[in-house]
Amino acid sequence: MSRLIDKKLSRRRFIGLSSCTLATAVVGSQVKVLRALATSGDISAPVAGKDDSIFTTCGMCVNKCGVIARVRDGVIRKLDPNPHFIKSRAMLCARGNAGVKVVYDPDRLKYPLIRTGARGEGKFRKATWAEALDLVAKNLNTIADKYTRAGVMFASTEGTYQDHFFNQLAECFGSPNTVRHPTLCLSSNIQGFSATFGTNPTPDVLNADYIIMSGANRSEALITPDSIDMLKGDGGRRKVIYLDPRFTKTAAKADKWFPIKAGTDMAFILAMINVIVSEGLYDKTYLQNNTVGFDKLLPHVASYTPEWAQDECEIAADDIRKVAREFAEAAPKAVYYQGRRSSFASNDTQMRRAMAILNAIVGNWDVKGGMLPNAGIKLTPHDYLAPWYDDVPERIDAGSVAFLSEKDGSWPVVQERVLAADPYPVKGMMIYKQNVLSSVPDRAKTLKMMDQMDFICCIDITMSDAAWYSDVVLPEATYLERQDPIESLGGPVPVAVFRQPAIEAQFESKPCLWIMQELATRLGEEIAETFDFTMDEYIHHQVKNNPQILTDLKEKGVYFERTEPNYGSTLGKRLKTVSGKIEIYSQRYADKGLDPLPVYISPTKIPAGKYRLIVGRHAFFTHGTTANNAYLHEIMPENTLWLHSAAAAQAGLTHGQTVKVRSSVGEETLNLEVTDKIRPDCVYMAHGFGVLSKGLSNIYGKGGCDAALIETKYCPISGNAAMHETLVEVVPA
Amino acid sequence: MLHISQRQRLYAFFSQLFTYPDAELLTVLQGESPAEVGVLLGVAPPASAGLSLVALQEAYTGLFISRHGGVPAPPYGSVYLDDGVLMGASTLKVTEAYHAAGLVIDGSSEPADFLATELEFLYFLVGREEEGFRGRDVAAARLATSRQHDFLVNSLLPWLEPFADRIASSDAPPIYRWAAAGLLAFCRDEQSWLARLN
Repeated sequence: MSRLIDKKLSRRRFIGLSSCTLATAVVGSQVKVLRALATSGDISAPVAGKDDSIFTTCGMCVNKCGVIARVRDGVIRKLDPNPHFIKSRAMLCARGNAGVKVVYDPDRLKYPLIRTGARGEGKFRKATWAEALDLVAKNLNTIADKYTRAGVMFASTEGTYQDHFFNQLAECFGSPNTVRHPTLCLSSNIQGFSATFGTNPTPDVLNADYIIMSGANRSEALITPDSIDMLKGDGGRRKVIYLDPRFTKTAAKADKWFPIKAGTDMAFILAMINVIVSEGLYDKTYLQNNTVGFDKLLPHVASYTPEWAQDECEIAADDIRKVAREFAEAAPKAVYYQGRRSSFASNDTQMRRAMAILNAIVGNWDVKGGMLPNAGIKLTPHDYLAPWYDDVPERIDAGSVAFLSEKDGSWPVVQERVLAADPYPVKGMMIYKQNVLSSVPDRAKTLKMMDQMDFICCIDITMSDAAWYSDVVLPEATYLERQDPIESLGGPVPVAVFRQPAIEAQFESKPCLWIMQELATRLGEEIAETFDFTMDEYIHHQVKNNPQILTDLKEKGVYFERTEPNYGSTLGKRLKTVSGKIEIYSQRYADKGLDPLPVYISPTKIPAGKYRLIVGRHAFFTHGTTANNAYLHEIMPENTLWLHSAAAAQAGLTHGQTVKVRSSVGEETLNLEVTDKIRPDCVYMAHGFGVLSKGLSNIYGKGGCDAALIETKYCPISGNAAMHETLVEVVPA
Repeated sequence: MLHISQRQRLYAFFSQLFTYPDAELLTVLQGESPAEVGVLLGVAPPASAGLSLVALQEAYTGLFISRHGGVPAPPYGSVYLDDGVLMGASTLKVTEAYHAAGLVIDGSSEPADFLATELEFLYFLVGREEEGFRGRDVAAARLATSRQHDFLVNSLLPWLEPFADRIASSDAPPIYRWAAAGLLAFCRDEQSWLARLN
């Protein structure tokens, strides 16, 4: 072929050949050539699309900030923050700005694909929607017939606002096995704080004078408005105390950073409680009126002295004492900030309980600068009657942990039990934008779990690892191409949001609702009936009791009823706990055979030559979903393994060297970053790299995957994965 | 000179080849056409024996839609001309060129600068050129050749070269390697004589 390219094509060759022969021989005379183009004859009308500014919400991470999509010539050119959007303080971050790239990424999914080679081999063919959907429905029905409807599991993302439709299909199909992100994220927070306050409250970061954060890296793991408000504060009174084995960006911004020994946060908190109660730095009347079990707390924390904690968490007793006194002094405008991801250790729920109790005893509940109850914007729900099926067993992870979320399940338990077919086989998997091979600990085990599936269908916008290992891949329209229903974002200042399409969906991508409706039609009349509505009807139904919501959304891109928290709204009223009060002592836990007050358990001692693997987020990326984004990829092309300089010297390892990180379940290869920004007993790698799917062309072969190394361990109360309990060794590659 | 119908049929052949494979394409590839085109290009096509529709579809999907290794050769101009994105400024230029010739995208979910569609456009322009000559409307024929030249120079050739390079360095099956190199040579040659003509 090079011969042809190098030389000039001889036109004489053409002359020598009969044109009549070519006319029929080259393509055949009957071939329709104009497939894409049609004659309009009209050359006066504008060729390009419209110019417009569309209010919508960001879909790049969990925060869902207000966005104005600037459309020029029918193309989204820029995303701007919505100045009315109070939750994000009218800000749009780098990730939000990079959203344009999601829509116009040549690596995006474009058409339904059907696997033709072996699973994971990477051979697909394009299919029509009808063919792909028929195949999905056929497989779901076959598995249901053979293994009951519980034989298909449904794994879903959150925050697309259309995830409700995916979960509705799961429910109406009749599978109890829905599994969502909380047990990889915040379920121990929800459990620990709810057991205490009846809800998982929101710290009033903007107004608190004293904030303690442990492991909640708000300057990099962004949560709005906290990441912004953390740096504000009231005059010079604001103080941020930060505990983390790593010197993160939040550590750099904090007034004080303590490089706490990983897994010992509860010791620090219990010692703080010890100081506050032993020195009488609390309001006795308040505690008597508003809490139960304070009397049991006193003897419980007696042995948890700062001197005891000093040995556990390697923070000086005097420092613990000082922080405890300052915290109590600043109260009630003082918060021990619980963070969001709480999948640290297997005693995480009890650690979150300790945090909640510490907050409770300084009386910061529902006051300015304290811990605030959440509210929502009232929307009229879409009611449907899910069909009833007689033979469906309970969830596969039923009974595995003390408080299992009926809809969310526990990912680590589901993974183990599906693999063991215990107590029954699960042979089908429907995945909606949850990249399970990147997010669920022990990737090798997740792969095995997927290998034993008869059928896997994945709905996504990119060829994620999960999509790569699927049999049918369905392309969803991106968040900038969809009309999404209205969603209430709860919090002390709740807002209602929605999404409007800035442009039409590209290629043949479709919104989740359309996909679910088409599947429902194929799965049976009873299921289809529950989806008998248009998006427009759905939205109008949501606002039928308050049409102003839709008016504001169209005019301002956001709806809210107040701009300040409604402080004190719950004071003097029953909380959603068994006693109706703040439960320092949990009778509910005692009844379940759990410790009614948090009992400290020392983390496993780290043997010589090993390190504790800790994981975390970057401001540039959202979990495993954005690292292939070209704009963001440019900022951080790959992840590295952080190791302290002393530890590196001892191990004979040098900066930039390629190393192997090995745990009991996997081995990853990545470059070493020798740094003093981490304790010598830990190593750290950012999440979202080391992907399996070569379809993510920017990041394939770059860095290492934390999920490949993390062992399956979880909290027996909430089912939350324990992501910081894996010990690894590091050797030259 | 190469006959007008030969040029038009070559554009048609390549446009069809770079469209998602269907049974019709397989029939074409298993017929005499590739050999005939091979004679014109000076390089014989790879053997078509053993070609199956599924294998062609797998290869097309892997090269141009989604694949193991990322999409190595996205068949869209803007990916090469506008910093790796779809629907860049160059895509709009292509739409404008179609529009100026009285054409609109109809019946395709692909962006305007999809390779097969750009070739379809050139096929159409050669048809206009032929009509002009047949009807002794020299102005119309010249307009069509001028448009071909401008489109090749401004829109297609600038990215066809890196596109063909990517195909050449990928694991594309022989039929696509042959077609990409052949198409590039053909388009270069078209541009060259159109430049002299205009």
